[in-house]
Amino acid sequence: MSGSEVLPAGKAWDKYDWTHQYFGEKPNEGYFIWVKEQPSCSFLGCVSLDKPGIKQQLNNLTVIESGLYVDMTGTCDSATILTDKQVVEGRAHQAKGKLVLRQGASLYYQHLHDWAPSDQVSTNYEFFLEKGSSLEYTYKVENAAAAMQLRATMHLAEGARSDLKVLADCKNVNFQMHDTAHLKGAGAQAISTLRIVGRQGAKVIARSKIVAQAAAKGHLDCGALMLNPDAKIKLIPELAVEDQNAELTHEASIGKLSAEQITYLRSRGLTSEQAEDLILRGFLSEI
Amino acid sequence: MKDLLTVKKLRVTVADQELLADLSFKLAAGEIAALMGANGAGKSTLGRALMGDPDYMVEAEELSLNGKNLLDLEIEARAQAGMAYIWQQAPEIKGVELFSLLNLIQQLHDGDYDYQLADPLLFRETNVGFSGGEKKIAELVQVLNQKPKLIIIDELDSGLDIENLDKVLSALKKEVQQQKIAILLITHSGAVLEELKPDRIMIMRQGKIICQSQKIEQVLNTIKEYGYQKCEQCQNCL
Repeated sequence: MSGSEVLPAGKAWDKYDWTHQYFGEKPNEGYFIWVKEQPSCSFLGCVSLDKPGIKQQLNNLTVIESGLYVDMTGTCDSATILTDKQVVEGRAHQAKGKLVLRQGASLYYQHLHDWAPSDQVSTNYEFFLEKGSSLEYTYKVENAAAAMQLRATMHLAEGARSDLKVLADCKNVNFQMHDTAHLKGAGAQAISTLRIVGRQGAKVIARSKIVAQAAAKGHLDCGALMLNPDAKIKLIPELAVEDQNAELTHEASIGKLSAEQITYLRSRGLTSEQAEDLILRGFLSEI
Repeated sequence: MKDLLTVKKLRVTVADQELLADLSFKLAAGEIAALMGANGAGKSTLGRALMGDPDYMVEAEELSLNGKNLLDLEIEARAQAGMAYIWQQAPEIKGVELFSLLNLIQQLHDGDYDYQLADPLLFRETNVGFSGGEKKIAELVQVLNQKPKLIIIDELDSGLDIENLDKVLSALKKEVQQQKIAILLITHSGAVLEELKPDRIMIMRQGKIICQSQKIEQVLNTIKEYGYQKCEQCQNCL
């Protein structure tokens, strides 16, 4: 794509010394995307796990230059389901990445996860939002792996905005996530929205935190639905204020499907299953 | 006129508490019957029980719609059989646009009623932040897409301003006349009665229908002057 540079992360390390501060060490795997001019179309990336025994260790870096708008979709998934024999060898996806939004840049990023039930997944992303930049990041788990760890950290400078949505449909998974927004500049704004569905065998711990170090605003909205008595969900919203002009708020709820909503939809002719499915889809796509 | 709904010796309980007992009435195809009574008389319970709300235990000598035994049918099967219900307090369905829900209802019932009436609401989450009037408009467009034979309407005017009430009533009236839809109209409102002009009025008190009459004006005048209690002694309207 003209005006953008895409390289294997190791080559970017060799070519550009300035990337070292973000990579930390020379990466063996991973990608580098540098958007230098306004792209005319969306970026689409796909990382898949295939053969048994594979352990991906990605170290990614994305840099978007000042004033540019980028639409990006990343899919991380399992290309195959392992047999019982292959499961013993294991398969893992580990990704860490840094995304840098220069002054006034905007990123709309949809990150979709669709894993086989035996895989291990760990992702750790850090976003650097320079002055006046904005991020809309949706992390959606459609099918969970056996164990999933998600860490997302946002650093917001003056007037920057971030809107994080984590939508996770959890079944037979040990799911742990921790997102933190550091509001470092005046007028920065962060919203974190968590929607977790807990099905059979789901063990979820979700920590969501905003730290205001300036006159900034933030809101946490954590919601979970328990669909199975076997599921265990812990939501931990946390607010920390270091500037008396900051405004931080939060709401958190864990509940079950509303019988009234189901009856309402059934009165329109939907079966119980259709009604539950519609309510869940709505919950996981809540605006 | 041919009987559409037959209710014979209906008994409704919730957690072993009897809410309605020995309740019988019939509704003909295309007939509009007003159901009135003081708060707590059992009107909404009757509406919900007829619709098949699983919270209510229902027994009856006969409960049928168009000859189909409703006692064998779950709530969604009753909707498929032609029964529709306009909720007094419709719940919010977060994350589901009204447009998507309407499309699903249309598919399920092969409905074809125009969404235009609900146009400003179509891409909002269903019932989320809707005013009372907007909720009733959304309800009406949903039930008319169910191609119903009978609509049970629970307090159509609750939360409706006059402008929206006129809009809803005129849309409802047109469809009722064209499609010969029967209505069981739970209401306290003179304006609703005046516009829909019911064929019959039924008065409920303490879980029973104590009066059924076609002399609408006479019954309403009696209620206005003496209250619902008087209907218990009155024989003239029966």
